[in-house]
This record gives sequence, C-alpha cells and structure tokens, in this order.
Amino acid sequence: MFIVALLTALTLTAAACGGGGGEETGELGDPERGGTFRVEIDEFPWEQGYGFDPTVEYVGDDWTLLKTLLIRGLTGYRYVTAEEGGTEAIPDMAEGLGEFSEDGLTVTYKIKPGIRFGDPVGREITAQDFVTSFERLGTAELTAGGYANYFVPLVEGMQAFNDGEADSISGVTAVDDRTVQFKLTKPSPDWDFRMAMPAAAPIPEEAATCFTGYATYGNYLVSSGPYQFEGMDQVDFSDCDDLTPPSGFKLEEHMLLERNPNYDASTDNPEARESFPDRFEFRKNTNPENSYDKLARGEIDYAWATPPPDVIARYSRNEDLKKFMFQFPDNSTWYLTMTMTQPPFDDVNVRKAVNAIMDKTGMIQAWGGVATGIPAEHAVPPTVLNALNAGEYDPYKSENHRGDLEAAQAFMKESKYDTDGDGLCDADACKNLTHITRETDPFPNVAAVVDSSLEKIGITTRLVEAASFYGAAGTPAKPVHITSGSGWGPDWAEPITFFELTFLGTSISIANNINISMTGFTAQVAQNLNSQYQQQEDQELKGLKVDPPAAPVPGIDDRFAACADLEPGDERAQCWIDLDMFIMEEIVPWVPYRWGNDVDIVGPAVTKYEFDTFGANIAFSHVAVDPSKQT
Amino acid sequence: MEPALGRVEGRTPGQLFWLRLKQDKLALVAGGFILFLVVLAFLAPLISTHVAHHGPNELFQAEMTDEFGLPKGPNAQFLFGADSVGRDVFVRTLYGLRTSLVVAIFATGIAMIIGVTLGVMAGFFGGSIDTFISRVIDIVLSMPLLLFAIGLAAACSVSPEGCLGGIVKPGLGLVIFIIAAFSWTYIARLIRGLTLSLREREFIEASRSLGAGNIRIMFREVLPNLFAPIIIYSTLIIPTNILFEAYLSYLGLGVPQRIPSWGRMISDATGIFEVAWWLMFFPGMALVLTTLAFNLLGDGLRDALDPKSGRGG
Repeated sequence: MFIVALLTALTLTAAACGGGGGEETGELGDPERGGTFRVEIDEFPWEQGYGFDPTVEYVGDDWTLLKTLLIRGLTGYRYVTAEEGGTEAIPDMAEGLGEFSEDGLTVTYKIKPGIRFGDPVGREITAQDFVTSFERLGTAELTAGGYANYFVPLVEGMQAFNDGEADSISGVTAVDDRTVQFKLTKPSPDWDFRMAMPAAAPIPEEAATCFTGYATYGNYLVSSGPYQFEGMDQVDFSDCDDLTPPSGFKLEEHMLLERNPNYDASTDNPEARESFPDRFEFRKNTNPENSYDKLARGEIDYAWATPPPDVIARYSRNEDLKKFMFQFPDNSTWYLTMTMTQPPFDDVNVRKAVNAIMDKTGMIQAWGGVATGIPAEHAVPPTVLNALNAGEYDPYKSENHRGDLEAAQAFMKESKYDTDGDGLCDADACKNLTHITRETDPFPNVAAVVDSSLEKIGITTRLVEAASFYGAAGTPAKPVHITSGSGWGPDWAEPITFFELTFLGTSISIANNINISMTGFTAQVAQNLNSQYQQQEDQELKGLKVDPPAAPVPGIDDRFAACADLEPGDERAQCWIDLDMFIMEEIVPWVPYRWGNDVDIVGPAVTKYEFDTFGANIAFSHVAVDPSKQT
Repeated sequence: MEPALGRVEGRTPGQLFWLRLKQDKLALVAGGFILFLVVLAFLAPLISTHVAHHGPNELFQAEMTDEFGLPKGPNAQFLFGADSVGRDVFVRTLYGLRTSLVVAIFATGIAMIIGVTLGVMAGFFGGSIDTFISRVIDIVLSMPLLLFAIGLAAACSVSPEGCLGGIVKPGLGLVIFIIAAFSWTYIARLIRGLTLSLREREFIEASRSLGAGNIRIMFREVLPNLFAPIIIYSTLIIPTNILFEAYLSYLGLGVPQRIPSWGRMISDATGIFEVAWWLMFFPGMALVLTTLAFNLLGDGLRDALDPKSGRGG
C-alpha cells in the first residue's frame, strides 16, 4: 500500500515544475469536435509497475488518463479547477450521489440507463459489473501495492473474501440490474470520494475472467468512457489463452485512443467530459527538451514532462507564448523529514530550529523559481485543508521565507545539543548527519540549499543522492537523519489521506516507509516491525532489527482517529486544521517547504485547456485542438 | 698535425633523460601547466577566500539567479558566472581541479600498486601463479568497464552504508575505488610482459648466482628497471582517470554535489546550456586543457625515458 501511495504522491507532484504564465483555464480559440490531440510523455506512468490495471493502478497520471478518457465510475469529478468545483464528488454513472441509510451503514446507487461498455463487450453496464470490480479489488493477489485498504476493512464481508474465507463479498449487492448496494462496517462520510477512484469502476465479467494475474488487465482495458484503445474491436475474450492485445496500447511505446462507438454522451455530464478530439495519441519521448521544441513548432499539442526552467522563462517572457502556459496549485506539499528517533532530532527544539532557519525561498528558487510553487508554511496545503491560506498561519515565520537565524538560535539554545548556549548545535550528534535526497533534478540543488541553511545553526550533513529515495530512506532498521526528497498529495480532496501514511505510527512499514520521521513510533510498533523483518524472505530485509524507542516518539494516531470518525462538516474540517497545527507546533517531524504548482504548456493548435485538480494534471476530457493549425 | 679530439663526458641516465625531455617544448609547457594546476589546487581555499571572497558551496541565489531559478553569467564578482543555486562557477571550477587531481592521483596510485605487484609476481614467478593472475586479468578486462562501473557506483550509492559491508561508501572514496578497480589490469599486463623479459636477463642470473633471493631480486633488480614504464604509464593513465571520474560524475554516479567536480558541473549544465553557456564552457575547457596537458607530458616522458619507442621510431 505504501509504495503505491508514494507513487501517487510522486505523480501528483512530479509535474509541478514550472512557472510563469496564465492562471486562467478556458478557451484559446474556438473549440470544436474533431482532430487528434497529440501528446509526448517522458515516461509512461503505467511503467511504474501497475500496468494501467485500474484495480491496482495508483499512479496519479494514470488516474487522469483513466478517469477523464477511458472509464467511468458511479461517482467522479468535473475535472476542472477547485474554484470551478473540481474537488467535489459528483454523480457519474449513478443518477445521484450515494443514498445513505439512517445509520450510515448502507449506501445505494442507481445506475443511469443506456451506459454501455466499449468494444468488444458492447453490452449495457449493470450492477453486477460493480460486484465484479469489487471482487477483483478484494483479491489480495491482484492488489498488492494498491489502495484496497480504502475498501477492504470498510465493506462488509470484504475482509473475509480477502482472507479467502468467503466466496463472495456480502457487502456488495446487485439489487437489480441498475441498483448496486454497499453495506459498510462503519459509517464512511467520504464514501462518494472512494467510489470515484478508478478501482471502483465497473469491469465486465467477460474480461475479468481472463485477467487473474497481478496488473494484467491494463493492456486489454474495456472502456466505459468516451474513448477506447485503438483495435479493441479485434480483441476476443472468448479464449483467454489466445488473446491478442489491441494495437492501441503498447506498454513502452504508445497509447492510441479512438472514440468508443458505444459511448452515449447524453448519459454523461458535460461538466465532466466534453470529449472534443476524435483521437488521442500518447507517445514516448525521453527527451523533454526535444518535446518542448516540437511543441513550439506545433508538431505535438502537449508535452507531458516537467518543463525545463529555460522553457518556462521563454513562455513567461514572451507575450505571444504566455497564453499557452498554465500553472495551478497541485495540492502537494514537499517537505524535509527529521527522524525523531535519531539524535539530534530526538529533541523538539532542534527540529524547531531547523524549521526556523530553513531558506524556503531558496529551495523554491532551486526548484525552478516562483512559478513552480510557493513556500509551504504548514503540512497540509490550503487547497486540501480549505483553510490556513498562505500567510495566515506560519509558526516559523521569517522575512521572505528566507529563514530567521535569531529565532532558530533561540530554539537551539533550549536544546541539549547546544552545550555552550550559543545557539549552535555543537554536540557530536550534530555533525556529519546522513541527508538523503533524490538523484534527479531539482533535488540535488534543493539539498544544497538545505545544507547551507543547516550549517548556519551548526548542523553538518553527508548528502546521499539516492536512485531509490524511499529505498534508501524508508527502512526503519537503517535510520537516516534528514531527507529532502519527500512530497505528498491527497487521494481525494479531503485531508484524511494526507495524514494516514505520512504520520501514523501504525503506518510505519519495514521498507519504503513513508513515515520517515517515525512519528508515533512506539515499542509496540517496533515489535511488530521486528516480527515482520524476521518473517521476510527478501534477503535485503531478512534479519534486520529496529531498536525500540527509549521513550515513545510523539504521534497523532489517537487524534487522527477522532477526526476520521467525525461527520463531514465544520467540526471535522476544524479537526484537521487543529491536527495540522498540532503537528507543526508540538510534533514537528517535518519542514514543509513547498506547496507545488503544476505547470502545463500546450501547443499552438490547442483551442481549449482545463486543469483537473483531481489528478493535478491537464484535463484531457476538456481539451480541444484545431487540426488546421497542427504541423 | 692531428686534429684535437673533443672531451668525452659521461652522462647519467637522469642527465640523458633531461637532455631529451628539454628538447620537447610541448612536453615542457604541459609539465609547467600541470605544475601550475597543482599549485592552483593547493591554493584553491586561499584563492577562493582572498580573490572570490566565498567558498564553493556558498549560495548567492538572490544575486545570481533570476525569478525562474536560471543562473546569471560572468561579471566582475563572479568571473565564470553562477550555477543554478547561485554558486560561483569560478570557485567550483577551481575546487573541481582538486577533485580531479585527487581522484586521478589516488586512483592511479592504487591501480599502480595493485597492477605492479601482481604484474611483477606473474612475470617473475611464472607457472601457476602467472596463469592464475593472468586469468584474473583476462576476466576483469573482459568486463564491460563502463557498465560495471555504473552498476557498482549505483549499487553502492543506494544507501548511506555503501556496499561491501560498508567498506565502500558513497562519495569520493567510491569513485576512487571504482576507477582503481578497473584500471589496474592494464598496468598488470604491461608489467607482467616486461618482467617476463627482464627475468631472463644476465644481470638477474648474476644476482641469483650471487645468492640473492626472489624478494631481493624483485625489489633490487626488477623494480628499478620498471621505473620508466611505470612513470610513463602513470602519466598517461591519469588523464584517462580524470575523464573516467568526469564520466561517472556526469552520470550522477560520481562525487556528491557538495564536492565540486567538472563532470558533475557539465552534467548540471546540459538542461540549460542554451541559456547558460558558462556552466559548460569553463569546466569543459578546464577538463580539456588538463587532460591534454597530462597526455602531452606523458608522450614527452615516454620519448625521453624510452627513446626507442619515440614518435620518430
């Protein structure tokens, strides 16, 4: 689960490099149906291991593709900005949002009539197709690294199915062809958001029987949306042993989409999908500079890669080009972690001093400048928290976010690691600390700013630029001191998914651990981890041991549970705000330094652009091109 | 009247070497340039403190980068411009020289020690020892050097513990280890061949007949006669190792960013070369001039120490 969550976060935030131009979505010309929308991408998101199989796929960019172009769920989003309602769950295939019973334990959806699968299935989608998708979601072998945890404990009978103790899931019922009902183990105020996730979309039994292996269905995905893979009409599911994949999806080469002939736009919400182009082409180009050159020449319509700083500068400074560049908050926070089990970060005053001294403006500058984001002032971005906007709450305020030496030294003087009270960390534990970052741009540059800031309060580091960031930083048995490569984005527009993997002691895992700072680490957690290390077959992990903490590391597990149990509304929202403030002032496991922006640049033939806040990406369901302007 | 005969003067090998070397002006200039580089490398901290007034890792983002994080070019205070986080390219180029020289000299030194030791043992003892060492050399030589180096560098950089039980840790030591691990074989093979030839020579026989043991013969008779090829090959392998370090650093597998390296600086420049030419130009020129100087000096030394293998012959 954690690996997938990491990938989601990465993808949500990976496109956040950029800067400059317009902040308005909308029309660049006269959007009309027709044409081919041509995209080049530096790395296909499905290559990260999930193969585009919606049951397990947890990479944010794939979510964008799946939900805006290929599959529909009972609920969904408008795929527009937060201001335009992009963070609200809306009915998609269902006639309305979930109808909850009085006790909140039963949710019912009525499916709109006339919604049909794409080729080669072609028939009308029924409630049974949701039972099929939930049975896949409840099959442990198909969901490793996915987000089944959002459903398995919550849906009645799903855990027993997952454990192999039941043949069906008692909590998912096809009441009739158009009515699907879920029975929950406890009320879930955010259930409609969960149902908007790709894994909850319907899967036809005809296809599902052929794909019983992990991450295998993506190649043959049967559409329920406006587009389908080119060549799907040639696929025959009648013989699972003799399947020929469609020509439109080659894992390492391209994804070519044509209109789904069975899609009826009248069953869809035009606020969500306008589906202007007749065709989409996604092709790989590992050289982003080259893609942006082609974009400028009109040879492609969108380069799906982080725009290099010089490209951003060019589009920002040229009035004619400016209108083709868009930047929006991508709901991510990028942050430093300080491992609270390791000296000197076992002292909260040192952690506060690091927060106070950090030159966040310098870090943004190293990332690519003002267009790529703004200095983060607390853990959860305002766009997710719906509160505490920039400038409203910053417990470690400094002029221009450049760091405050005086405040940092005042914190440090309170620390046991400042032995002579001069505001500098002068104990041996402050020297040569292990600092892990990613080896890719812009992280080494960001790390240089971090190290420069730390030196001002006497802390020196040994920087390791790791090819596998969480591989190097996320093994609790091999603790590091400080990291600067972490970023996190929410799974839906509610703060709950911002806290779970990042701060809960119970979320600490033996490898690829997201809670690097070890917030909430207790002797019990240590015992569980050691038990898992002992049972590991992986030779890298087998036999490792994590030392229990001398004293429990402060955590938020209880506070989190209390917030999660609240009904949606002001009290719940305030609970998350209070939790964020508690983390920043009492626990202090992070230095949040960047609230990211997504920067998109489109080609001269694009006549309409929208930003999808759900996937933090360009909204393919709203784009349009003018073929006469394409070269 | 008989013509007067000129005075015949005996010359030591050192004098002969110097006579030949000083006729090679290019080699002398290269030698002088290398000497200058070594002095620069030693004085880098002083120069950065008293000329540039800042160190290689001091950041001047506010002054030397724009709102997009793009660096600004050369000016009176930053002679070679700044990089993407506002560090002085002049100072980093200067410190990069230290890195290049340290890596090249240490890696070459280690490779020489291993190569000469094994080469002399293989050539001198022959038999199964020679067979074993030669096969090891063959195996190492048959490995795709760059691929293995990249793999090893990547594997040892994954965690702070490094690899080989923590013996090799990420950073300068790792780069030196990798370069030495793959360059000793060329030396060993060369030295083995030369030792094979030397051990059959009369002076070795004479020494042995006088009762000298193997160790004494190796140290007192064989090694001194290998001095010239060792010097020549060392000089020629240094620029190769400088370039090797640059390759590894260019690929992000060399020294950490905090330690300035020309390869790393060139790599960092690739994305924004079109708008920041100075990032690639100055470390690139430094790399070219340094490797060229070592190559020219190596050629000159070879000609002077071993005239039979000279350019004319």
